[in-house]
Amino acid sequence: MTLPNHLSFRGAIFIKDTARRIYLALTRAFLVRWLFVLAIAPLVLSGAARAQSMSRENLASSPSRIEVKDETGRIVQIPQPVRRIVSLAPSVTETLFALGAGDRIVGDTNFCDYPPEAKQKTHIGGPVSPSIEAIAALHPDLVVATREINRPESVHALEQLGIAVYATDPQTVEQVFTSTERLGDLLGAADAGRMLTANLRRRLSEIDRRLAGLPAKNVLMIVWLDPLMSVGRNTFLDDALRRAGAHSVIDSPQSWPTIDLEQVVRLQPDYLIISNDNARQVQRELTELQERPGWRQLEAVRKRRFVVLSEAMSHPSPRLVDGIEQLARALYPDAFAADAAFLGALPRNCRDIIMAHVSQPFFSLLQPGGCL
Amino acid sequence: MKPLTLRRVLWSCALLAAVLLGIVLLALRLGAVPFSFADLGQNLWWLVSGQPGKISTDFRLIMVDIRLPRILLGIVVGAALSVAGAGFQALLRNPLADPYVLGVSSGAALGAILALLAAPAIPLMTPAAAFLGAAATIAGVYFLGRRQGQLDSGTLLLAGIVMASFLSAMIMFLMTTLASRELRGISFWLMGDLSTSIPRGLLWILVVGFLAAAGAILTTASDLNVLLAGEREAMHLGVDVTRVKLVVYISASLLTGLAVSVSGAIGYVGLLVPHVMRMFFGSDYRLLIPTSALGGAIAIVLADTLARTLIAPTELPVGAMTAMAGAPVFIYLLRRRLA
Repeated sequence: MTLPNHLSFRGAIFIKDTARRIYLALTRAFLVRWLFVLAIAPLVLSGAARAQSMSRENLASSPSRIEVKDETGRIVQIPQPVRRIVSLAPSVTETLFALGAGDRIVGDTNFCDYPPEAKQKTHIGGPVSPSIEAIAALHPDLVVATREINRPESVHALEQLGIAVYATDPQTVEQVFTSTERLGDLLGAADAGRMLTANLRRRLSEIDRRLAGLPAKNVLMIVWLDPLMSVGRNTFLDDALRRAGAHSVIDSPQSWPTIDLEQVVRLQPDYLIISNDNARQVQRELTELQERPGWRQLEAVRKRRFVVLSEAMSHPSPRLVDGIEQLARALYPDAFAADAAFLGALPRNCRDIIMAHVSQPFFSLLQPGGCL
Repeated sequence: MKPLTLRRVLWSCALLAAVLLGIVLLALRLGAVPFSFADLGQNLWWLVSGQPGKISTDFRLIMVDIRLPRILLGIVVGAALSVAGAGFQALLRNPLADPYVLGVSSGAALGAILALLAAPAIPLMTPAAAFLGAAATIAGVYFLGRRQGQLDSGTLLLAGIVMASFLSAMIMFLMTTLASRELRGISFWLMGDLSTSIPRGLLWILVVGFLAAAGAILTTASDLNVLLAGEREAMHLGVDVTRVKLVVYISASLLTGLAVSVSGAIGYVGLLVPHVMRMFFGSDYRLLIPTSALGGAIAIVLADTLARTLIAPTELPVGAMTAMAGAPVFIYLLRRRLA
């Protein structure tokens, strides 16, 4: 620790030497550092407080707010009327469009692909890791999240910015309807909401009527293939299966349990159900499945009793009823025999594989790192 | 090696600080919502010169409320991790040591998971519980790592690694058996993520905690230099080895705990930055600690900017970014030095 000797000015040497001593003292003395910290901390804090108070001002400017409790129990102040909405999940986007509030959506996720107009909206990222600043830049009156796929961290981050976030959390088909109605109420579309759900309930009771007295069929809902995941009992999907006259052979308290193939072989489900709009991927998976050792033991695989549903089935939105209808028709063709138009239109080789259209698998929404 | 002078310390730090400033400006400029440099400069001037009334609403919302706090968080986390890494490398006399080598990150993650299971709705619960988890792990490893009443580097390292794998196993067990929906964020957490907004009060607690703990490590810097020669040699040269090891162990663990509790386990930075700084500035700890702090801040802010912008508007976890960008850079530097 020597200073260079070529310095010609004694004054400079003195200054540098003193500074060096101070620095050395700092590297030696813990206490000096602490005092230094204690001296600057209040300055820094006051600066922060000023910036903080500054940014809060502009948020209190909206005219009237209503206070509601959302479906996860949070109290939310929602400005009225709601003109600009950001949706954080495909199911939410679908619900908003069904309520006729599609034109009020100013932003949605990269995975919102139904209805097609949803793809035209400004995207704010994926549901698991949206860009908070992209959402803030859209100046939404309301952000609608869903507990199923959004992270609580995103909700907290938006709350901190003073943005109202309403989180839905439907766990049964009935709750999908009530959730839709509540969203309708918040958006000033109460009548549209009631009409929509009344229609959906009517369609469900029509299915109930046709299936009355028929025994439920045992099914395995394949949510994910590797590792094999199915649905647990407290999910909207399990309830939707029940409404379609299907009984999930898996009974688990977890929402999306990982299943041992042995257990499936033991339970011998009558049908395997997949909800996926990517027809090519489904074909590949099913062909591959028939060649796997354990799966060949399944009666349902040998007899090709697969039901492939559209993704409507895996979104807790009003479209869920489409999925329930598809499944009920596939499992009980005789009960729907009168609707010859539907089954008759199917090509013969698709008698067992009922396909419906659309695209990305729901669970690919869970981006890298997403896990259920 | 050239003798360390104050001039060299100041110039090195000034150089790195200038780079950091440039990166911060770039990070402020880039993001899902674009701003021009002119706009940025104008608004920043208004902010600094005390005319906040003139700042546009968008700028206030996006810069002041979102980007700036995130960049500041990145600076503190990066500096803390790098200083902790440098500290552990000296303490364990192992070039592979990083802030997580003693299991602090797993302890923090376990604490966070328990908090998410117990009280998912309380926002500040997670960082608090993560910090408690880290602290408990630190204490546990400390008692396991002692030998005849003294911290023994080898025993400490083994105790830390065993603790880390045990805690990771607990995390995997909880994640598969409970599968609560609140745990979805955990994988982000294990990878490291700066997108979680934290209240400003917490940010300033972090700053103060960082300055205190990094300062404590800096007070032992000249002793750490001697310690490089070996414990026995240091003891003969009059270094209070027990005290130095205790101070470095506690401070470096505290730094790691602070960083992990707000950002999850961001990998690689704590390992790489001290080594890179050694390549550039030599291995004198009196210089290495301040340069590592600045270098870590640069690395994280840069990585986080990439994480925010690469596939915008979707965000990548910053930990994935640091590992992806850090490994090739490090290999390049290492080969160049050997050549």
